[in-house]
Amino acid sequence: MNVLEARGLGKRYGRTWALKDLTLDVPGGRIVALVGPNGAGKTTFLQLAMGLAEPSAGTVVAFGLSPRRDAAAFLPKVGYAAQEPPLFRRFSVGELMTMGSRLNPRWDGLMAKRRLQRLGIRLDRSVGSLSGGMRAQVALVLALAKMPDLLLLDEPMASLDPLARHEFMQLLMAASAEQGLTVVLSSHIIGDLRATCDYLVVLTQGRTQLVGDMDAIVSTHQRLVGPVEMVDAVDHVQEIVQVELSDRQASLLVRMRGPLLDPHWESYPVDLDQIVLAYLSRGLSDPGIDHLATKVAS
Amino acid sequence: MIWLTWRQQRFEAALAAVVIALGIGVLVLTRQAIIADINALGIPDCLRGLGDNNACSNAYQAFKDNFASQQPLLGALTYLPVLVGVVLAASVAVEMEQGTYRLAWAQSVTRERWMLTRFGLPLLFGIAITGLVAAITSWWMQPANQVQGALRPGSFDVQGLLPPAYMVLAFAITVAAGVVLRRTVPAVGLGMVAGIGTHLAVQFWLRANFVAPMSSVWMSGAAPYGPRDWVVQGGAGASSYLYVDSAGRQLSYEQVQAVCGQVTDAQSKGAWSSCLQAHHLGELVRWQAPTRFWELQSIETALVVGIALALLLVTVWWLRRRTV
Repeated sequence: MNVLEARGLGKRYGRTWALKDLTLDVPGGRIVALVGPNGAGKTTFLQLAMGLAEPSAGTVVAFGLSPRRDAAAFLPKVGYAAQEPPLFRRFSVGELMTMGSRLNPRWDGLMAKRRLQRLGIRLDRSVGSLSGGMRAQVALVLALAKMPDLLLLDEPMASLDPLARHEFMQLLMAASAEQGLTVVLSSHIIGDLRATCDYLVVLTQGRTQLVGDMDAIVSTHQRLVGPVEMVDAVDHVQEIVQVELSDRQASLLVRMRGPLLDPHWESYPVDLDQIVLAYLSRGLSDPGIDHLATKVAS
Repeated sequence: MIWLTWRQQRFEAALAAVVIALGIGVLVLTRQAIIADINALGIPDCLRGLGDNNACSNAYQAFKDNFASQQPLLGALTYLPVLVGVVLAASVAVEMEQGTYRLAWAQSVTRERWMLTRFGLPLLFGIAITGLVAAITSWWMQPANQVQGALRPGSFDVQGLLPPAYMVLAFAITVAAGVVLRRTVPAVGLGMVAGIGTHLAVQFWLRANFVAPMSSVWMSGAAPYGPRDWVVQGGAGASSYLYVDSAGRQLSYEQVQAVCGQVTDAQSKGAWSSCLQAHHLGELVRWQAPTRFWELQSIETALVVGIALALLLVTVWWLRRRTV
């Protein structure tokens, strides 16, 4: 069952579209990685999904509820932590937790307390005196203690050290496995995602380039190496994502649509980093080439 | 939300409460001196119609001069509500600038509930304390009101419904500016300037004509208005005069000057009066009577609160539709 559904979703700021015509289904119980370069529309998508912004086009619903029109029913089910969490700097950490317990019908105060203790963040410390990484941790504790069914995290790990990052991902995986929590997190660090995320969305310039189950994506993509003149033949059957040409050899990153029968080609497995990079550069270069072509023509 | 609003604004609330408490203390301590002054000048007899006309006129003038020493206090009381409104609204502007409103909006609180509490509670608190100060000021002004009426600018502004009304206006301006501009300093500045500016504009240009003033052509002798009336056109100490001739035509001060010359000293003043009489020229005077106090208060309050509500509606619309 899909927890989050976007249909033709778009957001325009002035004349530029931060996100355009995004259609996306997020299945329940997954940990979804939203990957894309800066300015791809990841933050905009998460803000629209949280109801912080209103779509300029299309719709987004979670659990069948509109974030804005059904806000009263929607908000208790969804947790959110922003990239640079806007916390009240004059509050103590304990007061922030009190705020959370008073503004949410479900609230796991015990979990919040334990987690802060583990992180070594005292409740009487003022939020303004915390480091960036600690503030990010406090924001994540706030979002988790809300006991959401869907957790939207915008670059949650950007300011965490590798150990904290690893530990946090462990926490998310446990919550997902035990409580069926669905997580959508944006990131431009691909390294950690393979181990923890089981669903991938690649977003460039406000559009999806690749959506699907992580394992299926890795197993259906392969690198094919063979003669340059046979590239067209491959193109008829498989979807070529990236082409690298040398004198006589072609190295293709392809999404397999059918069996590889041609003996001229040798296939090699590829890892997630290479796949994501191929899609990212495809998303970036396509409009660029069009743009150049029109420039030359005029 | 109530806990959060209190936690976010307890400093401003305490500050406002302290300032208000000080103001109330000053009022309580100075009222007795005003009453003593009125008694010493023999004004109670004048008010009962027992005193000599000339002596009473002098006594009223003397009281007016003495009461002028309270001007700084009256000035402070006049603009205190604007200050209270801006201080109570500043925290919303700070939240818009720092983006912390998103933290509350990411909890299980709809924007509508957030706005209701975040605007409603400070407004109620502000109305309560400025209303309290207005009530105590009205009590403090009672003796002076009996002598000079409650309608004069300065007196009128610190009594009745107006202090809470201007507090609400300053709050609404600051909140609207904070939400649209997302900058604290310009929002607070605009709240002060536009709050006081609106007050002055209403006081000088609109208030006298909320209800058509009473008018009369004053030829000579006793003034047609009493000591407690608020003279809005002509009369003693006016800045502009209008004259009416026997045919009912209005003449400006400059036109009359062309006929009767200029007033420079006591002698030319006498000549001026005889010249006016010789030409059958009377001075046009218009005034409001103190019986209209509540009528004028209600009209001004409705106007000011109306503007404030319009601004708050714009703010609500903006927060619901435009804010990310």
